[in-house]
Amino acid sequence: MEKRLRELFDYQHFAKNKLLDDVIKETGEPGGWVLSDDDMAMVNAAGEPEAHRSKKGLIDEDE
Amino acid sequence: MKTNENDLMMERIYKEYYPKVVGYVRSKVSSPDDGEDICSNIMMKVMKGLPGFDPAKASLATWIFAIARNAVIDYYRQRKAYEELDENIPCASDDFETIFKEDALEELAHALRKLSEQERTVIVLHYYRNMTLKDIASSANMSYSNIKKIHARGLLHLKSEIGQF
Repeated sequence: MEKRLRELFDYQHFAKNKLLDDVIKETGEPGGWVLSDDDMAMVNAAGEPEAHRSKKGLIDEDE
Repeated sequence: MKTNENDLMMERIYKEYYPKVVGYVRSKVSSPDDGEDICSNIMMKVMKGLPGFDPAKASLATWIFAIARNAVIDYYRQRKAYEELDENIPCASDDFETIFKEDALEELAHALRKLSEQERTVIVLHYYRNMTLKDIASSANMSYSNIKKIHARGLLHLKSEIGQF
């Protein structure tokens, strides 16, 4: 999947497909992102991340 | 292909594809002088290969792009002996005919629009602008692990939108 994605974006440097170019141009620099509620749950008051344990005691992954 | 047809075809190719070749090489090679040499080599190979080009096997765009991509790969392979491999080096493809089609790019565009802003940004910066996830994390002032999560989510969402490309 990642390899295919890299190949497609590589081809975009050549083909300059208009639709994809618009999406790319609209994509700005990352910054000012706020953590999602899930990510915030992993940060305690001291600012240190901790493992979020589900009922089964496993780290709760989003995926 | 007769000489006259060849000349007309080359004229058309220069007009339509030379800017694309230049744009592609510039995105991969930082040195303007080296880039110029590479572009010249590419167009020479196109001119030499044109009589034997079979439109039944590949589109003209795909064929020229393959020549351009291989030229960039060769450039970096020659440098490898002296420097570390640049992250801009294109990866070899097993079946580029399947990959390099306009509708695949449009499908990708539609799928990207369905991602969250963060997922889309990470995907574009990582795969189009060739930023490492660590550099993206630094730029976003977020932890590397958070960016990795966003990246993984983005890939999953893309896969659910368009499956296998």
